[in-house]
Amino acid sequence: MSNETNTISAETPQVGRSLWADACRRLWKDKAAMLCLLVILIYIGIAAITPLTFGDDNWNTLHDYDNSNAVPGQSYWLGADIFGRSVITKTFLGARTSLEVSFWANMTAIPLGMLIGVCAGYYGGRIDAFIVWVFTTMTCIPSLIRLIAIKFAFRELDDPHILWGLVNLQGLGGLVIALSITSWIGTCRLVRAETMRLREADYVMASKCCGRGSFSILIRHIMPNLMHLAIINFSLGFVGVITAEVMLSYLGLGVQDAPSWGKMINNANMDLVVGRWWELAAATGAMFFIVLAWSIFGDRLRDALDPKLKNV
Amino acid sequence: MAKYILKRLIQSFFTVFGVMIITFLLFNIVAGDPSGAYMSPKATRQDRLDWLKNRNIDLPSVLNRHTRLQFIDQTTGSEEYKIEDGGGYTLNSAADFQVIYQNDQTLPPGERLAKRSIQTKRLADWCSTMPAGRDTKLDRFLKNSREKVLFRSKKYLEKIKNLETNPGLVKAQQEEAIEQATKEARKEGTQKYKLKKLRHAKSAIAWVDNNNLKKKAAVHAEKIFEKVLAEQKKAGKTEAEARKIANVSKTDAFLDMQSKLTDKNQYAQIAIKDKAKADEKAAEKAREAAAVKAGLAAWKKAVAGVKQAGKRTPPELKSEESAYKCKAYITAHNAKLKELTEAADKAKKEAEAKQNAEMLAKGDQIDIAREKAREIAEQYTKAQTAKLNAEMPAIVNATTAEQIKKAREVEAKREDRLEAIEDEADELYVAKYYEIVKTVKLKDGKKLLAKLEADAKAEGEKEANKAREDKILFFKEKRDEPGLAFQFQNGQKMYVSCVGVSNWGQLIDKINNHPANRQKKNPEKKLIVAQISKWQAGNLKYSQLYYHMKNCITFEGKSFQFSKTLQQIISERAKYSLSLTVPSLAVGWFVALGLSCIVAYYRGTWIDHTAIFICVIGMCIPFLAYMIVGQSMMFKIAPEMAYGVHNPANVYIPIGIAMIAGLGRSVRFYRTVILNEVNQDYVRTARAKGVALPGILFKHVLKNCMLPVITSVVMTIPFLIMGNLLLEKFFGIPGLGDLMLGSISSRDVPIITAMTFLTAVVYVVGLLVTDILYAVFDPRIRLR
Repeated sequence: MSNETNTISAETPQVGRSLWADACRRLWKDKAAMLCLLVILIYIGIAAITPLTFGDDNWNTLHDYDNSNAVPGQSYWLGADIFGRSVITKTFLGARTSLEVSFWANMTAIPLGMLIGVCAGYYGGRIDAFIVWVFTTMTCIPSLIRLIAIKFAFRELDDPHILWGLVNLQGLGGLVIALSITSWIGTCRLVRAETMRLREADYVMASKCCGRGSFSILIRHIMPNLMHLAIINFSLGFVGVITAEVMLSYLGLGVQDAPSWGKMINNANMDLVVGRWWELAAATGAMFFIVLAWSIFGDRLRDALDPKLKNV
Repeated sequence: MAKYILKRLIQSFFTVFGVMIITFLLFNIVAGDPSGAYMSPKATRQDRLDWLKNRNIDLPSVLNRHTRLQFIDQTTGSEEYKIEDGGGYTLNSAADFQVIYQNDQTLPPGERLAKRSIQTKRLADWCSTMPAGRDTKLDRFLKNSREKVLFRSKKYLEKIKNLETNPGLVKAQQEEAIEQATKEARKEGTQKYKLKKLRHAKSAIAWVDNNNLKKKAAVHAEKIFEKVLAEQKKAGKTEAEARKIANVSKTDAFLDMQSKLTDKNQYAQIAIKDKAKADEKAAEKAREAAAVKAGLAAWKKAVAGVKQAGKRTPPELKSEESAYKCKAYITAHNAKLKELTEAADKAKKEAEAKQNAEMLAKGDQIDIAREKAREIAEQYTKAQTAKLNAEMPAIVNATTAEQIKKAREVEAKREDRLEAIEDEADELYVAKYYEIVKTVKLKDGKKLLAKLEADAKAEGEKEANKAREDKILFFKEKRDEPGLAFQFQNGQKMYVSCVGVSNWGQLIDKINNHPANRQKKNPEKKLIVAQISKWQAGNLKYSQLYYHMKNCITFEGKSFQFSKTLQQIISERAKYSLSLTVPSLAVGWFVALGLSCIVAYYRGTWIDHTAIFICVIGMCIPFLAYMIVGQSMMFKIAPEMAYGVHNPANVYIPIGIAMIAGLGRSVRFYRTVILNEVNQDYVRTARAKGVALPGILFKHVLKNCMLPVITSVVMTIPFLIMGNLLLEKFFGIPGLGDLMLGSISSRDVPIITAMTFLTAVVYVVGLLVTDILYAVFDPRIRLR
């Protein structure tokens, strides 16, 4: 780690190279980050390809009681679950659910957090006070309990379909919304602080003096300077969201009709005592690697994009 | 310092308020009707409504919106029929009358309206069976009030309705029960009606009285005016001046006279005299009777004594003298008795006079008239009842079915007759009351009273006409579906089905756009127009938000499943959670801090690298895996110690797991914090001074690291109360976390609300304490 820092700081950046190009170059040279990226890409590939191998079969109705709880071996590399379904396929499908949920949750939460944070930071005054009040209030409820509460409320809905029936709050959409309601706060806080700093920057002042409108300043000057925060949060957000998704599925508040790691762990609650370790091991292992990969990649991405933050 | 704490407290208050709002939004607005999970599928709608009502979740969510549905009859033009509906839903937008039903989505408003109209009909039915009174404003008013009183006795209406729909009863039983309930309702209604009558009569008298007095005073003032005017003219003043002076004296005189006349003591004295006379007479009679009775008894005794004496012949009583002695004794006794009675009477009289004086001082002399009238009415009732008993005795010893039937018939007739007597007595009472009041007080007000009665008669007729028109709007049709039936003066009828109507807006739409809603003669015109005429915010106290906040603050809400208050539940279960979390937190904190110090000490060496590697791996393994693996390992070693709380040692495994699972994260975090501190100048100085490394680490660095460490500890404080959610569930520890997760599956909303709120409050308090502790650990920070 220290060696890399030295090499990067020793090099003089070439004229005309943008921040992004610089960051990409730095990332490319970082072997650990590339390895993690590879792991992530493999997961994404698995998540994309596995459902295609089923054809028309529905996973939930795929039962084979002859091979119920089969031991890992030739036909089942990682054994089978109680319905005789391959645990390895199940894990791959779980990866799909997990990635899908975390991707959409981040895609909702980060723009939301950015928008609110920028508004709070730039306009200040009462808007800022209100937004700060909102997220202070939200953070007062511990995140797991907050998630549970939101998901519980969604489950008790009389009519779960919102946005003209596009989003079902009791399905994947609900999970995504619950997770994004919980995770916009971190981004918002960071962005707010950064915006408050940028608001006083010379170029913003100059632009203000030239008569540019506040919205225009936000789009043209402030937003581009916050993009690296968005990207860092996007990658680091995966860690929290994946963990939370597993926790919720374990409690029975996750996605109902698709296999997920949380559900696998829940199924394996009592299995380990009997000696069936494979379902738990598969889910835990899968989760372990993706979380590890995302957290290391996120850290490295942060280092690459925001060298000032490196030693914090 | 105090100022800062106060400021932070106010901030915390706002935050706690925000948490209340969030929990309210989540559990009362977003989450739907929870009754479904707790009621059996066979439960009727009424049961569900009752269930909701008991838990205050049928109330409007925030503000009790009050509205009025108005029907304008186009055939007669201005006549309106209004239906008031107090809350139960909120108006979304006034423009399109979109009304959302908050409390009971299963009961569409149309149906509710139809139900109400049936109720009205039922009431109208049996109000018409009541004896018709005199056609004055008072009677009209009283009848209206009787209807109103009865309309309010919803209890009986509901009872009757329940009986009607109860399939468990045989028809005869059902009818009997309904009859019984109706009787009770009538009885109650009549009682209330009587009270109302009295109240009204009182106010009417007071009004008349007042007017009369004013008139008197005015006449007197006029006389004074003329007198003064004449005097002033005589004195040689001009017309205008004289008038001015006269006017002043007129006003004075009027006010004087009025105050004199309104001095109720005049009437009070009259009443006292009357009362005293009557009392005296009654007391004399009673005294006489008592004396006679006592004398007789004594005489009998004496005679018996004399007789016995004759038989047994004791020496004293043989002589005639002794008999006289006896008689003398009796006389003396009687005299004493008389004295005593007189004294008692005197005392009684004094007490009564005092009471009367008190009562009259209040200006309540009408009570006396009322009592007199009541006496007369009671006498009448007694006489009539006696007559009825003589004419139609109740059959008591009925054995055969026929006899029973007959007995019931007789009983029913008797009931009717008794009621009629009661009503007649009421009327008599009112009439007598008027009479008495008139004779006592209104010597000069006869004309006024006559005018008043004439006015009342005219108005009563008007109202009666209006009432007849009122009844045109709804008529009951026997259909299975809920609906509204309209009947108009021109003979046209319209039936609007309420099936599928889910809000008032739809209902209004349906009525206004009904194909039959068209006048025959003039098809372009409508028969009836429905609209919402009024809406306003109601009482905030009768809303779900109020009860939500109350329960949040007091924790007095009741759980759906345990029927215990949250206070009890939390106090029962908190000890388990605390026994799990306090040790794990404390031990974990010390271990993590110690480990991170060691790791920081060996920074850059293989120990550091290995430790960080292990920490990262530990962080990435899901918590669930720790739990499951830990339990299964324990199960293999000692199966009885892997689950539940029957063995106190069972808590050690969850504590260990909670500690180990959190270790990776905290060691890594504390290491970063410590290393950050190690690079500071004062460490270098200390080293230069020659302080040993452990000394630097534990004495200087650790103290300066406390800020972030405290922050991270505060983050875990909510879980201190909650217990570790998942661990408690998994290891069967009956703490608060287990309670919360259990409530998710059993849909126990109050518990989840309370738990969410509790953790938030604990967290807020923790933050407050942290901010204060900052100042303790870091004197550089000045609390502002």
